[in-house]
Amino acid sequence: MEEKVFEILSEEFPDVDFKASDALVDDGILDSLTITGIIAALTMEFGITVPYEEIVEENFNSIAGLAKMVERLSK
Amino acid sequence: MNIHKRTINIEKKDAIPETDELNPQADYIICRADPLDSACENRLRGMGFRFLDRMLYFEIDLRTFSETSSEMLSGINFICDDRFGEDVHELAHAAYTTDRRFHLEPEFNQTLANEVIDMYIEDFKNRGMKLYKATHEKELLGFTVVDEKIDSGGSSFENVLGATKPGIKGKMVAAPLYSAMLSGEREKFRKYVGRVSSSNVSSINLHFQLGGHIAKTYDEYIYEKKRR
Repeated sequence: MEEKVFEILSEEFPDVDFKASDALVDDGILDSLTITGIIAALTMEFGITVPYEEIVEENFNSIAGLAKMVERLSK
Repeated sequence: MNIHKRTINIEKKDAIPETDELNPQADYIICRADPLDSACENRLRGMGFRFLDRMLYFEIDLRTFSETSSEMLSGINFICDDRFGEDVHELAHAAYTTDRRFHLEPEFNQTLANEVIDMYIEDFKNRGMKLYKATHEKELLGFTVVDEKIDSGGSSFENVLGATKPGIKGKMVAAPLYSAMLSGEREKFRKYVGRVSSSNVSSINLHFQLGGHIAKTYDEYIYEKKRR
């Protein structure tokens, strides 16, 4: 799942180095439009809905966090 | 404490009045000057002003701006009203930790900044301005304040204040919130204008991604009367 999420997001946001940090939000690597775009991309690709409660730094700070969230929401 | 703040736009260096003539009531006097006008800068520094911030004056054409969809943000509402509640004050206090419009002392002083923020908000409220808000249930995630009166021809409106909740929840709503504001105002106006600090990278990028361009820049200098 991590690889697939990385592939999708890297293609969608080629200027963002998703492996640069394990604190993508806290380090300011993800800006407001990118975060909105990530939610949109994951929603479309995996057919999931990202509820408000899941939008926390922990889920968006790394590819691993995003992949875990997608897995959880896909069940 | 009641803070008096006065802002003056300087078009020519000869137009700079002496500080005592500006406003005897003012604790802080802010002058806006052309960044390339070194003579003006030298004169202001000679009068005791110090540099405060370099500001970028953004414009966005409302006919062609890049809209950001908010459809995937389930449970988050984007509304427009004129209620400047306590939550607006609290969010602004939390969001503005370094903004030089409010942090007037050389060292960041949140207590003083909060008083200046409250003054701004009270002024906007008294002038009947409206807000665009992003909310989840009863929680305020972000807001923008719209001044519809800056242009006598009614062709443009100004975003005079905008803040989002610190952290990812605020970042998440920033783009769709601004997009909702631009969409909401484009029936009445052709152009958006907004002032952004050159140190506010997030806001600069947001404005560019919404389709904005920098129309002009200016520097702000501040004079603190109470210290003299």
